[in-house]
Amino acid sequence: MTTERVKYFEAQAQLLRATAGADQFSPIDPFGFAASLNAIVQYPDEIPGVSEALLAEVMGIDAKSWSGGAQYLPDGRLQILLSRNQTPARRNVTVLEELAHRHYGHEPNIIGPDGRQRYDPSQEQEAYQTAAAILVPGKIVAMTVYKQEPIEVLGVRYGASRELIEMRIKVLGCWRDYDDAA
Amino acid sequence: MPRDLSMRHLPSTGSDLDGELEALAILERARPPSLRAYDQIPMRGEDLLAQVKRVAPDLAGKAVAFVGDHDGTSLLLGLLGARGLLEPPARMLVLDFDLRLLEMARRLAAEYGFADRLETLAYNVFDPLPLDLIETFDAFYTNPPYGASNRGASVRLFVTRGCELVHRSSGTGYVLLPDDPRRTWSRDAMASTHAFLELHGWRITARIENAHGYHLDDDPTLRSASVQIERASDDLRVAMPWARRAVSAEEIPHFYGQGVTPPYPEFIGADGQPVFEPGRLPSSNMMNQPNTWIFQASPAKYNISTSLLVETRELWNCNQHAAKIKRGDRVLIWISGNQAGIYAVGKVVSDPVDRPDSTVGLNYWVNVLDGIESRPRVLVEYERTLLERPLLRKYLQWDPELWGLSVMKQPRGTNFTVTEAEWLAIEAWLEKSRASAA
Repeated sequence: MTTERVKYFEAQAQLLRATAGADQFSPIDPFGFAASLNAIVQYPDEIPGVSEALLAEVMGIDAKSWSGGAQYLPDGRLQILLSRNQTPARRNVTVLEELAHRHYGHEPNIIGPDGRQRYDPSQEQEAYQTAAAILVPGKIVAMTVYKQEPIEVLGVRYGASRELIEMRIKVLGCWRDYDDAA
Repeated sequence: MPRDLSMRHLPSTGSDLDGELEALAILERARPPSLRAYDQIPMRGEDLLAQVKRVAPDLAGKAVAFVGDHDGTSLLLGLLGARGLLEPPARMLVLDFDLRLLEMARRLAAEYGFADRLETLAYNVFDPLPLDLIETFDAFYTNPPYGASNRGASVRLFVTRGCELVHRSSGTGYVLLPDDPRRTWSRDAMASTHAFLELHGWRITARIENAHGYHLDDDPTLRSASVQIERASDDLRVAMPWARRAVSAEEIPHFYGQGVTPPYPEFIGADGQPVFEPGRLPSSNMMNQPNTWIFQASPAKYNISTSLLVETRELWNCNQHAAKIKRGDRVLIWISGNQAGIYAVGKVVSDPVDRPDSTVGLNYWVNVLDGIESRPRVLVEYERTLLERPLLRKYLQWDPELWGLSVMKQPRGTNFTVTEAEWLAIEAWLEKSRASAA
């Protein structure tokens, strides 16, 4: 990914933060963030009328196969459905990914990768990179590496997994310095 | 899809060209000198005339709020209306922080017979709107600062105020936006504003691209687009983040661009001087406060890495800004190349003097003739070096507050300005750093 492309995602993340009324660099609560952008977040078992059989099937899906999806409700709100079978840190980024999909005008999709009719890798990359940049802004990641501060602390503060932060370090081009310091 | 509203499709207003040009001349003669620092850049006359004729049919007979109006769109509507050349809005309110403009507007309206249609209000867009104005207009119109250094955030504050002013169910807006697809900042500002509008329940109903040019000596090719918007639904999807509240200058960095830093004036006074809010007045010696500069060295020309190790003071060329660099200013030493970044922090300890480099300094020049040449130079004292852990561009580029840093945008040169906001951002990087200290 080019630096310009990464900067584009950073800029879009900043825009979404501003739109949601969040400041540029502080940790956010993705669920509150979604609410301020007129989206509701639900788990499958919170939706009335879903048959027990279907529910059992959905709840049994591994998070690697399906972490979440979204659809528009008749009142215009975005309904984000989340798998319970994932860590809190993974849930955070899944919520933000769905908001990023909406931001870019991607078609909402409630079905996971296995059964997904319109799975577009470039759209998924856009959404994931933007979501990650909303959750942990590039400046914060780069400053952590520069100051040689532990990424574990960053992860706890920002509700992000170690894997996500290390992915961000790579994408931002700071991996060698991080690796050398470690 | 926005519909095409280019001029050729518009009904004629039955133009009387002489009368139109005379009205334009009256406006342009009366307009006070533009303050570029506050992004007052008047539109070219012929484009303003075309713009007024373009929007007039839609605004005829309506109540229209102008959120800032340095161009004088409201006045040209009034002047042309008074001459019977178009049907003007029934009511126009001009909100602007420049008291000179408001005084001019009242004077022209009285002199040319449209004072019954035009009101003025001294208003700073950072302040919340008076409650009695909220949702009382049919339309708003704004040609705001374009936010070249903040991805259009300046535009979005003006748009927010406009959206607050118009009727909840039927309000419309006319927004002029930067429109140059070749410029990244223009694309970003346009795209961000579109996304912002959509997210907040507004849709674009018409857009005329490449519609206006400006009296802008240093950027004569800048163009703007005219965008018409309306509410997509009565049910606002998301409240605009700055609506109904005061906004601090810190929330929108580089609001007026790179040339002026907070505190911003509350108003521009009748004498053209900034008027600061009590408590936010710049101190009397603000003009003498130290500036911050980046001084850049090229290792291909000067052995800077060694000199920073050995020397505590060095003479530096003032190839740019020699008239502004002064004793006491802060200096960030930037080394160019693959590992570009800040390698030392220091201060200027002499005013610029035309002279060759010192005998010690000559040892570090790759081509000694470059150092012998007499040119403005200042003595810089290094207070802290970061040689073991320089603050590299590869880190700084991820700080949105530094996206406008001149040395990163246009890296050719020796002496680069650093705004106060940029210095504060850099200072945060330098704090608590484990980098080596001199």
